[in-house]
Amino acid sequence: MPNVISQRFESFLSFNRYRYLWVALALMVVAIGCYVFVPIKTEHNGGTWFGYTLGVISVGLMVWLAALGLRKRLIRPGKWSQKGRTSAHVYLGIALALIATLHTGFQFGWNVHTAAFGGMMIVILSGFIGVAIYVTVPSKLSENAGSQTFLELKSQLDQVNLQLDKVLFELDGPSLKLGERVLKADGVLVSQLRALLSQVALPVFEQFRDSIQQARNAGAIERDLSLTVLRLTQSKAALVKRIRLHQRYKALISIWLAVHVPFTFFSMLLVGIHIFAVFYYW
Amino acid sequence: MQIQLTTIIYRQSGRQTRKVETFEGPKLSFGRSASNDVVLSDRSLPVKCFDLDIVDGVVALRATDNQTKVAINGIDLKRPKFLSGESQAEFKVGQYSISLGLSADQDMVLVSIDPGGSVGYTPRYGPGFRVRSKLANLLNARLLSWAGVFALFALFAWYPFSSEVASTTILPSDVSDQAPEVLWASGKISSAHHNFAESCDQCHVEPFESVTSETCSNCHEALPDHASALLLSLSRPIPEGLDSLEGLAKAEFGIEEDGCASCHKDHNGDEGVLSMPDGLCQTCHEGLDKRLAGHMDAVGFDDVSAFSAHGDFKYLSVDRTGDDITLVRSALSPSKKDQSGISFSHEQHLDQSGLVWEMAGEQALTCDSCHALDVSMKNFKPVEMETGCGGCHDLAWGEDDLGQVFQLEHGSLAEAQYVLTRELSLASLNDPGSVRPNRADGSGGVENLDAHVTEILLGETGLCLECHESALNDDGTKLDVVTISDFAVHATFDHSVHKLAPLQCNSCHDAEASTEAEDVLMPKIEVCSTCHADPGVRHRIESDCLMCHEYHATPPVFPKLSSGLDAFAARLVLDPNRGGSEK
Repeated sequence: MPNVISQRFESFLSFNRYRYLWVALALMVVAIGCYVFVPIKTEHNGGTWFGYTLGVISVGLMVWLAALGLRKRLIRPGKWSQKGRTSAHVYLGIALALIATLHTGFQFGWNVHTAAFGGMMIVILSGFIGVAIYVTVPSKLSENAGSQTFLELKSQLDQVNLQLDKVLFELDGPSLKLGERVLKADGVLVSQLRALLSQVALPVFEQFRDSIQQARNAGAIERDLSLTVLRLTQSKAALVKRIRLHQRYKALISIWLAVHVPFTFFSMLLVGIHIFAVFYYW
Repeated sequence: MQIQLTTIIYRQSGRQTRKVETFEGPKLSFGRSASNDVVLSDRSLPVKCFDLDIVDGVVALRATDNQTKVAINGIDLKRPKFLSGESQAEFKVGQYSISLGLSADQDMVLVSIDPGGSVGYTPRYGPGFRVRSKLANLLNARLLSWAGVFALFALFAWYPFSSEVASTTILPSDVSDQAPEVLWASGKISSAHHNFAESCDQCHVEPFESVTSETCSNCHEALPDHASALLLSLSRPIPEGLDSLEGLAKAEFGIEEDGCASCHKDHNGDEGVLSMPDGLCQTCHEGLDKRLAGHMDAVGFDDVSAFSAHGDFKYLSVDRTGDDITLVRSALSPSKKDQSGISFSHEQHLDQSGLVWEMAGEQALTCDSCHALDVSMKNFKPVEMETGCGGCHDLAWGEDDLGQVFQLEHGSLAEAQYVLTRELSLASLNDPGSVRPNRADGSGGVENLDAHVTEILLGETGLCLECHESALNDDGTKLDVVTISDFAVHATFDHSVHKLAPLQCNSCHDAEASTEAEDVLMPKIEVCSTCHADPGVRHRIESDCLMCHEYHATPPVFPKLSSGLDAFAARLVLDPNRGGSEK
């Protein structure tokens, strides 16, 4: 009998029994302990030997954390885990926030030094939002799309639109006007930003359905035609809702990346200037 | 009658084909709906457009929608147009060109439809699917990164650096806290160095080299050392562990170990340039007795680790042994006397009754009747005879011819003697019987005027000895009063900040019980401990070394003496216990 290997899904947060959470916690406890108990001759700041040590550790961590973007693009054979690297990225990023704060000695001002710290903290704080997004959004995305890809959804929508467009030749008056709006509805929904800002359900679909029912009751259109129109409208409403949700989730990730990634480079540049300025005016 | 419908179809290849259909009449409907016999795929046309009707061999067009605008040969379509006998008619409906005619044998109506180049139905919402909006495209992380990196580099690197490179060593007349260089400063510059704010190279002379004490001493040239270099090096503990590593690292990077930067750091804004955490003084002063074993007496300090470990205060006092007058710095004790040479009782002067009280108009004197703060508002001015005591103790002696009270000047014994001798001589001229100088028989006058004058001034009940304890000094010219106005040589005490209710002078100085001028009325450290304590003790004033002591103290100068007695300074011998730094 073959061995049955239980494959349980493991999140990047709980990777290897929270190994990197423990590593990060240990790092933070040691840093705080040293900050409090290691004797230094002046008050804490980045310019003591302890401050320099924390600074070097912080820069090393920053470069290593930022290298996640490189690592995931350099897929090559070997024993490494992207999930493990991501797990370490999250927890050591939190540790970096503390270590860099201790490096500052809580001295802040309107200068490149605090700007570098601020940029780094924006990256780390946005990282928390990123964790929240990556924990919740992917499952919602696949739940929304079912077994279909986004391109399949889009293809289905094209089909429904084609039929709807043809059916509009049979309609007149207010039904036609509402029908045109229903037809155009996808032109709006595919924009990620607008999907993020606008509602998923569209009232025009309901209005169109009501209008068709009225026209049929009044005998203005045939029963078969009304059934066709209602079926198409219902299909399109479901598709639009799914695509909008999909775009909304994608927009969340896009916007998050548009903060997290650029600010990573900003803070690395600012840290570079910070180090140069510190030693230029030693 | 049959109807033959010919439709021209434009293929995408550009070819035209014809589709011919035959209808059995007599009626043919036109419109965009698929329910029509002839579908006109033009969205501008109504669902049902018009009917072609053959009634009794006459072909008629009838609009079924009053919105349709169709003209046949310029005639409105609403009017039936009879075609029988006519060869042909042409008209346009929307994009369609329609021509009507009769076959040669006149038994078939010919209808030809030309969609005018249209290739038929084109979907309006098909493959042109827009996934991202233009704004979303702007959220491209790479684009944002480049733009931001460029902007931040310009602001934080190029702007301050170009400004610094361009600056000169000439101090600007107008200093701004918003100067580009400030972006590279680790904090706001102290007010003392504020005029350097835009000239970083005033202190940071060489790039990538730390500020040296030599640069500081370019301006702070006369700053006294804390102690001699030898004493400092002996007092400093030998670095161990991390400290020794730090020393090695500093040596490696060319950073001074014990320069100004050990205690001073600028760019702390309003906090000033002193960067001294608790315990920096203790680095040397704790365990000093071990490192300076056998030399502590010469140093004059105790081994102090905190305010609570501070020994008894040591005060200066005047000591007289034989003809020698010395200043002694020692702790208070019952035997410690300040032999100032003055005869004075604080108790008598502060009494609520008695002679002084009567002379003062039956009111008690207070401390500030005699003692006044000096300009520093920290210490008191020396009490001067003329302004302090003179109000009551004037040197009035006799009256002149006009009946005016005759006042002797204070401060010069020789002058007093001369004036008295002159006055007595003049008096003897006016009244030879009463006073005759140096008469041999001694009758009717003073036999020896000089002795008489000396008796008046320096006799046991003489004028001077009312306040002066002893008579003449060696050269017989001055009265040897030595008063000390600065009792604590190595510390400062700010009286003005201690003038807080309910504190009063007698909270610290027990003057009301002092009957002798020799009493030293300075308080012991226990009095200070009522309010002061080590940093961290609750409900007490946190007191570190610098609250009373100064690191760059000027070596103790000779204590100020009462005016007019400067000649004594040369004779006073400093007690060796006064410390190691005086010259």
